[in-house]
Amino acid sequence: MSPAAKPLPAGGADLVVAAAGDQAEAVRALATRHRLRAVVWTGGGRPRGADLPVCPAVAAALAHGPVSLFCALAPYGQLEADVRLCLDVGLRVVCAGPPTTSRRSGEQLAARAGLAWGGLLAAGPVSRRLAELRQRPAFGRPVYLRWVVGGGQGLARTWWALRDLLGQCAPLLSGPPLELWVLASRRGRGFHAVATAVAPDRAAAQLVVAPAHLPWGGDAMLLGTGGLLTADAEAAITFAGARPQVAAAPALYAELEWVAGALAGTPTPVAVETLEGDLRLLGALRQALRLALPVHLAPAGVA
Amino acid sequence: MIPDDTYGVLLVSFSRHSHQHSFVPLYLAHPRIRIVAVAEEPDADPALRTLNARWAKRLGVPYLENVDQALERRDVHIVSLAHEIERRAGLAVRAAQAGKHLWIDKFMGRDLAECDVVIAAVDQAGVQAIIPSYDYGDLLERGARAAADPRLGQLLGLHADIFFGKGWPRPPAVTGAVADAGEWKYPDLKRELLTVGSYAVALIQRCLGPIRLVLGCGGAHFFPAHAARSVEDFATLTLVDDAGRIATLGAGRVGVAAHPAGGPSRAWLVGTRSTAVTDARRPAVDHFLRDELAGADFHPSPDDPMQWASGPPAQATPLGRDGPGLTRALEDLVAAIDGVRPPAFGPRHARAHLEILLAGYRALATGLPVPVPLEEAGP
Repeated sequence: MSPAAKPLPAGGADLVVAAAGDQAEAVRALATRHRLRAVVWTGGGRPRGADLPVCPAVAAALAHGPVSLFCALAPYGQLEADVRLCLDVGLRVVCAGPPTTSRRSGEQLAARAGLAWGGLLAAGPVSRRLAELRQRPAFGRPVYLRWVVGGGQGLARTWWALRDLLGQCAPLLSGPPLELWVLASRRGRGFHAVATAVAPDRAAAQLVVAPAHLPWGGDAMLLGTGGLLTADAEAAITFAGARPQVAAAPALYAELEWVAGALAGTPTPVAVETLEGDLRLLGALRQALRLALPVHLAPAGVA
Repeated sequence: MIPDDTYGVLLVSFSRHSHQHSFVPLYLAHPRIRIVAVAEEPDADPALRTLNARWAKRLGVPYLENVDQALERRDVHIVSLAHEIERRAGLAVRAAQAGKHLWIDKFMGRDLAECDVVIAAVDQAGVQAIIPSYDYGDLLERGARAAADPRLGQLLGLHADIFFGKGWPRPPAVTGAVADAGEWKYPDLKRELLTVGSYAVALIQRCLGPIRLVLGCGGAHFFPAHAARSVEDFATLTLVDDAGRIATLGAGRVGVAAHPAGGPSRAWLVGTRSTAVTDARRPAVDHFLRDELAGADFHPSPDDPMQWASGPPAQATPLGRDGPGLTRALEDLVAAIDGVRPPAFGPRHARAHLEILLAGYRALATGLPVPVPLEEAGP
């Protein structure tokens, strides 16, 4: 039975997913709870061992059967057009980051019902557990957040990852950043980006996007006056051999909760301020790459 | 020097702001090192002089309250200099001028001008000098190895967090800015970017190129003593080197019982092909012994509230035999004196290291990026 012909899991939905090759484990995790009508690998090709229904384009994927949701885990050149197509045919759409780099297009898309973007990291178990534990009186006041993730392949994907990390400042520190510095460098398609953020009570965050994929949710550490919370990329299953690999249990992937949230909730239009902040962050990344210097963003620039 | 010679070590001061007590076991264990005397400046405070005398008696060596007189001894080849930062440069110069090799605890001087004076004296005297605390530890050794590993690809950046899980925090209600450097010595606190951040700076210094810009954030306090004086117990720096590589560090004294091995010591090296994570606290044997855990008293001794010379109970014992790298450092100094090679971390490295930290302090105080060399930054 082909993956697309499998029965729909209880509580699941029919999805079309666009993802990068290094997100194959996350896509497989989605397949344990939903029926994947098609996967569009944004880099082309097909990851090794991925027993998933592959389609070269979203438009063709929509012909594979009824679809409840189009979710884009990674950006790609055709994404904006695919988002519009899906919205036009009445599908819900959720993207792990802004689907466009154009202010005008962004304003148009943000006003459309059925579209949401961002919040992937926040939906994951690491972020949720950190947020819970941070509320314990024994944790005290937050002082420092360190989070290192992969995904720095291409500027757009780096932007999405950095944006996602910055979204952790508000729930984990004392509030969204009052000061923000962005730094970036690249070698070929590999991008290395850093955001240094300062929260209202001088708590700080050092957020890093590395070009190479880190398993699962990367490494996170939240330091408070009462102690330390850590979560590392070592996951539930380690294959120790000539080429060691790690994999997380499917239920631990943030993508599951993120998609569940997209399906269950009523997507509210993306706030213009959010779009504004996203684009300013992208602008800062570009400037940081050009100058090889830290770029300062005023508070309004933070999503 | 004939390689089989033993070298006599003069211990200058057991100041509370130093680690002389940590060096003593190294010297005692090394087959080519012997401690010959303890010395102190005549104007040292009485409590310190008493402590010095106690150590001298314990070691069975003379105690001299006259450093210059001690430097005249022919059986002194090395001076283990562990006084307050404010005195180190002057003592180092005098020791070098007396033809003695130098083992300098942590910082050579309180500012770059003092470092320059030491460098000139060491060069002129032709002695060997090492600042052993930063370049030889497990984190740096592993980090440097990872940076050079072809599996990493080209190094794009390095990010390190080193915290001392010491002291019992009582966070003040109000946080605030951090003053610039200038005052290092306080009776009841240390400047923790200098004390703890220096290890991460050394790792960054080793793996990246010359640093050209530093940005700093601080002011969220753990300890009221630090907050009251507007100095840092925790800070984070962001650095850029001359090739555009990016480094960040978080460092400070964060309180007991925050980590099973006394505080994380971890670095991420970001390369074009992979990201390497190195942890100086691993591999380790974790130990959760009920009676020990349930009965553990994590409160610092009233005699050492910030735990400068002590540490909390641990639940993980790293397997490395020379975590801080002091044994490696001593071997490096002996090899240098034998004429084999210069030390890996000598006065010039130490000066560059301090310059990065001073730039960090200026960045903390101003909230702005600070160019390095500091002369470029202006007054």
